Parts: sequence; C-alpha cells; structure tokens
Amino acid sequence: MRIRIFPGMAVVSLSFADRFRFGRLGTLGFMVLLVAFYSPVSLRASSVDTVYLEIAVEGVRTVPVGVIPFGHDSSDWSLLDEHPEEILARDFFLSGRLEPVPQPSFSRLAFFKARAAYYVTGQLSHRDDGTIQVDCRLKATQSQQQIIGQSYPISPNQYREAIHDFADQVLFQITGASGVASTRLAYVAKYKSDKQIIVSDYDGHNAAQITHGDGLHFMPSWNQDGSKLYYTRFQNSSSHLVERTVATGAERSLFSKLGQCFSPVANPTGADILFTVASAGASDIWRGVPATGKTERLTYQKTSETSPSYSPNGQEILYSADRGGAPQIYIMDKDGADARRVTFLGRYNESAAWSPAGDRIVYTSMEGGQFNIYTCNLDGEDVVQLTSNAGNNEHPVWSPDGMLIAFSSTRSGTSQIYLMRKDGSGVTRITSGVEHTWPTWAPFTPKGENP
Amino acid sequence: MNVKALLILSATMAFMLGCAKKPAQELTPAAPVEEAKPASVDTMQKPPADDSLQKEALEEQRLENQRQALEDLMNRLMSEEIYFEFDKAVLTEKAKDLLAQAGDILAKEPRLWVEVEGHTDERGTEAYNMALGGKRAQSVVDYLINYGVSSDRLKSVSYGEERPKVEGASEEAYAQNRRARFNVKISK
Repeated sequence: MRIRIFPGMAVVSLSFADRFRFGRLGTLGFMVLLVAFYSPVSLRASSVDTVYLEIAVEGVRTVPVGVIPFGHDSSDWSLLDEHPEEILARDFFLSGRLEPVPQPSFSRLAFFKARAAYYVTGQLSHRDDGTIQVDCRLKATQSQQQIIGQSYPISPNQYREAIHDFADQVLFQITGASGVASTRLAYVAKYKSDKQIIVSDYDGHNAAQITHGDGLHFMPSWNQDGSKLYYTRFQNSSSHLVERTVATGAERSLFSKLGQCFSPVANPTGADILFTVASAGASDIWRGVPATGKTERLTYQKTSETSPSYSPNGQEILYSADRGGAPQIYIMDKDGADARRVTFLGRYNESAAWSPAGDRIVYTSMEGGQFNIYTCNLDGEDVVQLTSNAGNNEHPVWSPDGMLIAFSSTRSGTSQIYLMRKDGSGVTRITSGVEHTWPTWAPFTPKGENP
Repeated sequence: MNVKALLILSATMAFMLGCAKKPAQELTPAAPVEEAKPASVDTMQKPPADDSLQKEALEEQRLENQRQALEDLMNRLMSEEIYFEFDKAVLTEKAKDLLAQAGDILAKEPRLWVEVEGHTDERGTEAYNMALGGKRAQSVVDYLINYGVSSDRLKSVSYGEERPKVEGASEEAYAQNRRARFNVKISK
C-alpha cells in the first residue's frame, strides 16, 4: 500500500481484489478507512495485486474563510430577502473550494481554531437618490488588514448580483479559480399541462418565466456565450426547435422542415447545435447551424439515438443509443463516425453530459424504477454513484467550472432543482413550488459584459 | 368498441359522407352544431345584391359544420387506444385486432386521415420517451400501411411522457399511459 499526500488531494493507492471508489465518504470516511487499512488484516487482504483503489477526498482542498454579519445604517433593511453574509456563505460553500466559517462577530481565536486565515464582512448603506451602497471586504485574520475592498453603488435590485460578484472575487483571490456565483440557470416549470422555461441566478433566486402561451416549452440549452437559449416547443401536435435571444426575447423557429425535433444542445466552441429528430419510428442525432439553416444527419441506425451533447472541445459527441433494447451512453466523433459504447454497468443509462475539463461524464441511470446520478471516466471505468435512496434524480449538468452538478430530484415529493458538488456532497435545493425539471447551466459571462 | 357497433357506425358514416351535398335536415347528427351557429351580424347587414354570396357563405358554413361533426363522430368511433408493454413498441394481438377494424374504416372512407399519437408512461427520461413514443406511433402506422392504408393518410407524432391519460405513479396508471391513439381528421 502506498499513501500519497498532495497539497490539494489525499490519495491512497493500494492493491485490491475489486475496484472501488468512496466518492461520498468525504474526509471522515477517508480517515476511518486509513485506520482500517493500517491493521495487518487489511494489509493482507489487499495483497492480491490486480487493480488499485483510489480515494480522493473531494479532489480539492477547501479553504476555510470566516464570515461575519455586515453592518448597516439605521434605515430599514427588512426587505432584503437574505443577509449578505448568508449569500456569501452559501456561495463559498457551493464553490466547493471554500468552507464558510460563520461567526456572529470578529473573533481571532475562533477563526484561528477553524484555520480561517481570511474573513469577509462589509457594510450596507442607503443613499439619498434611492440607490444603495454595498461595501464588501476580505480581510486577513492575523492583521485584520484589508485584502480586497469593493464598493458597489447600485440599485436595490442589483443587490444579490453585487454579493455574488464579490464572492467570485474572494474565490479568485484565495484559490485563483473562477467561480460560478454570477452564472445563471435555465430550467423547466410545469403548470398543469403546460411547461414553461424559467431563468434564474445559479442559486435559484431572481427567477423569471421567459416563455408564455399554451403548450410545452421545454428541454432548454444555452449557446456558447449565454446570449441565446435553444429549447423545444411542442404545440399543435408538432415539436420544433426555437432559438431565443436572451436580451431581447426575440424568438424564431429552426429547421421546421425536419419533422419532430427535440433536445437541442449548443456546441461550446461554435455556432451549431445538436438535436434529435424522431422520424419513421427512429430517432437520430442531427446537427444544424441556426444562422444558415443548414442541417446534417449524424446517425442512421434503426434504433433510438437521443440526448446528444458535445465534448468541451467540440470534437466528439456524447449521446444515448438503445441498440441493446435500453439506452446506453456512447461517444462518436463529431462527424458521426467511430461510435463506441461508454457505459456497461446498469441497464438504462441516459442524458449524459461531459465535464468542462473533459475527463468525466455525468449521467442518470435507472435501476428498479429509480433514477440516480453517476459519474464515470470516458472509458466507462471508475463509476461513482452520487445520489441514492432519494427519489428520482435526473437531468445532471455540470457547472461551467466543473465543481458542481445541477440536477432534478423528487426527494422532497415533487421534482425540484438541486445543486451538489461533483462528489455528491453539499446537496442544496434551489427551487420550490410547482414541479421543476431539466436544469441547464449558462456558461461563464465574459468579464466586462455584465454591468 | 365492439365490432358490431363499429360496423353500424361506419355504415352510418359512409351514408353521411355520401350525402354530404344534400340539404342539412337529412343529417341529424350535424344539426345541433349548425343551430349553434346563426348567421353573423355582418352577413345580415349586407345589401340584397349580395344575396347569392350570402347563400354561398351559409352553404360553406353548413358543410364545415357537417365536416366537424363527422370528424367528432369518427374520433369517438376510433377512440379506443392501443396499449403497449413497458419499454416496448411491439403490437399485441389485441392491438392488431383493433387496428384491423380501424383499417377497415379507413379503407371505406378515403376522406379520412389519421394522426397517430404515441405516448409513454412517466418512467424513463423525457428524451428517450420522446423516441419511444415515436416508435409506438410508427408501429401503428406501419401496421395500417401493411393493412392497405395509403401512407399519405397516416402521420405519426410522439408525445413522449408529456400527456399522460392517468396521473399517478401506480402500475395501473403506467399501463393506461403506454398507448397510441388516433386523432382522426377529415380533409376540408
């Protein structure tokens, strides 16, 4: 047995009769295992040198950051839906890289005990013209010196946006990583027999319904820069694709001659989209360029090919095919050639998405009538189950930084949208009320384009 | 729908379609619809010179009402649904009997065309169920084409899991929702 400790990751390599991965055990589970494997019995059990076992503790080291309540002027702040320190704490937690250490006031001792070398705080003030000023500060625990100071003179409805922006600045300062606190989601809400598309902040706040009218508006997907949304509209017994310009709300139908089209998904590196066309009993993957109307068919099987999605470099396509009677995940080249099967565990694997780093896929698998979310390598190895015993868990998609997975789950009784870290920890519900499904994550907003 | 009732109804249909150009009072099923549509105020105010145009418009309306009434009747006649096994698009023997009856009706009345809807139960992903619903609808279309119905009178559309007949997560609800149904149309 070899134990390697990296600054960001603890990895135990040992021989073992079977391949195993403890994705959900976290730090505690890792320590327990470490103790167990130090005993002579365990060492003997691991002497069969076949495959090796890897325990990665969340893959990334989390950095504790102190969080103390913001001060505010004597005016009325009761209309705030959430305190700034609450928003920051959740952003830190969901980043998967920071660990919030909330304290009611500055306490050097408490922060030292929690190994929080930095803390955040700030001040809210109303100004005479009806705007507000949000002052945010990142300080060093030792010296109480300011590391980042950011003032946001904003209208009250930009309050959450400002806090999210600061959260990403803190994350970048401490870890060098770009955060997703300022990104947006789109998902589907079900109203009686209609479905409508909702756009919200990544934490579910600021939700706005963007489609209206009878019928189904569903299966949304963002384009490469987040300026457009593609979705499926099912009205008057036909389903076709719609391109919507987010800023103006302008919409147009795409590829209307092709018949029944659904589940569009954009190329992260280009201007084309992939989608499924159901025709003559077969469903196949097609590619189309919305700007020119040009389309090409990529698969020609008599079976059902569904749920396409591009690799991060746009060179390969992940999709599902039911050649064996139930869907399994496949990869093919972007021209439709060289299809190879990825998943072999489980009878029904569908709706796969490629991680932004390109190293893993996430998908949903049905076993005994229940859907759960799994990740695996591109060769189908190293399968990690992320959800269990919590209703149906479907529609997994990666955050643009690859740290989080958004998905829908019926664990609360109705289908709602959740976020979790890529190792399955930190499950956080972000919607409530009517049923919500099919989250899709907008890409990073290019710097300077967001006011 | 038993075979006898179907034969009587289809005979009625053939008669009604056959005398479509005759005065409306002979077509009792269509009469209530017609009564509900009095001539519009605009039409009444037109000068007497347009009398022939007015008559033409009324006649058109009468025929349209009649067409709609027949369409409703045909949809009732072909309202029995075709059920499928879980994750399957293969027709059962019972489904084939039902489709033979539907094929007979379509053979008798060339003005009819049919949109075949394919549906699934809620289990499975939406995308895969859209594909599965398409397969079910196509199984029905293929059978009818083999039975002799011209393919240009048949259209398949998948609703996937989006339009369940019965809500709920029970085996009974699932069985009711795994279906294909006819949406019968009469060309204008």
